[in-house]
Amino acid sequence: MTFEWSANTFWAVGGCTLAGIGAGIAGSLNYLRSRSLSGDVVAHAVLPGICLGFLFSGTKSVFSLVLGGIVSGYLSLYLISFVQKNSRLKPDVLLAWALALFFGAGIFLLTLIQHSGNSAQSGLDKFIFGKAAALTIEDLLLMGSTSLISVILVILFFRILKHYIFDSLFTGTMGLSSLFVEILCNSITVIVIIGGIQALGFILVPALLVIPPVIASPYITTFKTFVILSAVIGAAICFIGSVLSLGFESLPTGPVIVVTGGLLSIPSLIKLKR
Amino acid sequence: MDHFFIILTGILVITSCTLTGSFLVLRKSSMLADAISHAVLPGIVLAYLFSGAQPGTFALAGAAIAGMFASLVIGFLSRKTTARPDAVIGIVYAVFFAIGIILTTIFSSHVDLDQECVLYGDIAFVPLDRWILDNGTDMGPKQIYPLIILCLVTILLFFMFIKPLTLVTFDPSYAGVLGISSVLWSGLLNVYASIVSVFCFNTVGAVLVVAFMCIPAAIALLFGTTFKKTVLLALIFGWLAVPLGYYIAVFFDGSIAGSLSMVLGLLLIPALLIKKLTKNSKQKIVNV
Repeated sequence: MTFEWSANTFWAVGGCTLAGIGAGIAGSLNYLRSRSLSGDVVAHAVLPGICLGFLFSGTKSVFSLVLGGIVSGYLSLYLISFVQKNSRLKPDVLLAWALALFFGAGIFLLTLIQHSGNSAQSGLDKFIFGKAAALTIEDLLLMGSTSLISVILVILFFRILKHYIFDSLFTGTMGLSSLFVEILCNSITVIVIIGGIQALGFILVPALLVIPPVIASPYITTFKTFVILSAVIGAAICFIGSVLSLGFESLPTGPVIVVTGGLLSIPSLIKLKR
Repeated sequence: MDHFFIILTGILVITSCTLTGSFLVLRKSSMLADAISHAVLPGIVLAYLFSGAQPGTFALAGAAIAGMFASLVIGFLSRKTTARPDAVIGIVYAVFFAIGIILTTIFSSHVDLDQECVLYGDIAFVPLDRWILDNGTDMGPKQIYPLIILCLVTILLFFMFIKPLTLVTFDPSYAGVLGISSVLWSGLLNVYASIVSVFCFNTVGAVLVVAFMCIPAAIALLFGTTFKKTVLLALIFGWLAVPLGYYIAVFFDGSIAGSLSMVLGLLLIPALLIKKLTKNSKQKIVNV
């Protein structure tokens, strides 16, 4: 096993680790709201947005793709809570519904773009399948800024989040609308997913939101330590996984990160035994 | 004729999926369908490896075993640990899928597997692969036959086991009193769901399996009053959505799997509107 610390390796490991911090934070919020799989929905739901971003701008500029992804990812979460309020359908089936609807629409649009003969489209699907080994400085900046935004948002609204998650009735009587906190949590989830999707691909990036809080959950007593520990674990998993995969050269980074996380969660799952 | 066979495939798939998925939806484990359809990947890769150049039945068996294994692991961890059940689903399917991709990369010289093909499916190619007898008679597309068998078996099992499954779903404690184990029956249901998703995703891809298993049942739940009525409504919605989605895909020259899943999903919105409007009119009558 030869490990060469080239500039490319640096961008890849750094990018993944930064993405892990944001994912850990978003994951801890979702875990406590029993919405762990909303990351899964968002990761699938960004596809139609990315396609529309491409169709409107006509180029593969990161800005238009990311903007489209944010809009459609956010819309999927909004639709879930809208339908949930207006029917007796349970959250789990609405998650499956939104995932299938948005991803189906995304595949449909993607094939339309591919059949349109626009040569600029080639490689558009790489955006969602991930390319950790080929991350550039721009990708690193994107990942860093999404994680930074999520850290800032959580620090700014820490008390509100804490009160809402553990006692939403209390925050209601305080005159704080639950809508605001929902928007906050959903926004953090969407931007973190957008940041991580380039490194891990859309199928595996949700795992980055699910695994850290599960590993952290047996060891924590307060909300603050939970969020911090989850962020640290997220970063650690990504760091270990990306170093391992780049060390073995032929192994793809995203899957190695997820398997590392899965193995590390076994002790916690044993501790969580009923 | 090609149109007919593609629509027939869709209808066979949606019938099997809806009959199984209705229970999953009512048991609040809809995302299990999504998890299973991703977790089958390592099974397929290993089956490709061991069976050599001739996949097919082996790949199906491998996928079914991996899917069953994943659903059993999810069931076990949700029962035995205090971790949130949805988080357990999220971890297990991602780890399975990741192992699948790692195996694909390691054995890339032996395994000719396309990630995208697994996800999107190839329903458009169903009519191309014909089953032709020795005397030259064209028996129609090959992939139709396993789906017909699957559909008949699913209908049979549905009517045979509707009693214990509905009991376990709606009143597990009463079922327990009667000696019907809810762990056993939910386990069997999950195992059967993985078999169905393996058969179906072979033709229609992983995304459509989720859409077919959950969305018809979700729409029907808005209107249904009893379990049987709900399932029947779900089937009718599904049968209507298949030709609609297919002709939209043909008209725009887009992906059939994508369009089917989009149309099914979009149908929930008018259904919700109709539900709201009829509810309001009923209330008005009462008020008058």
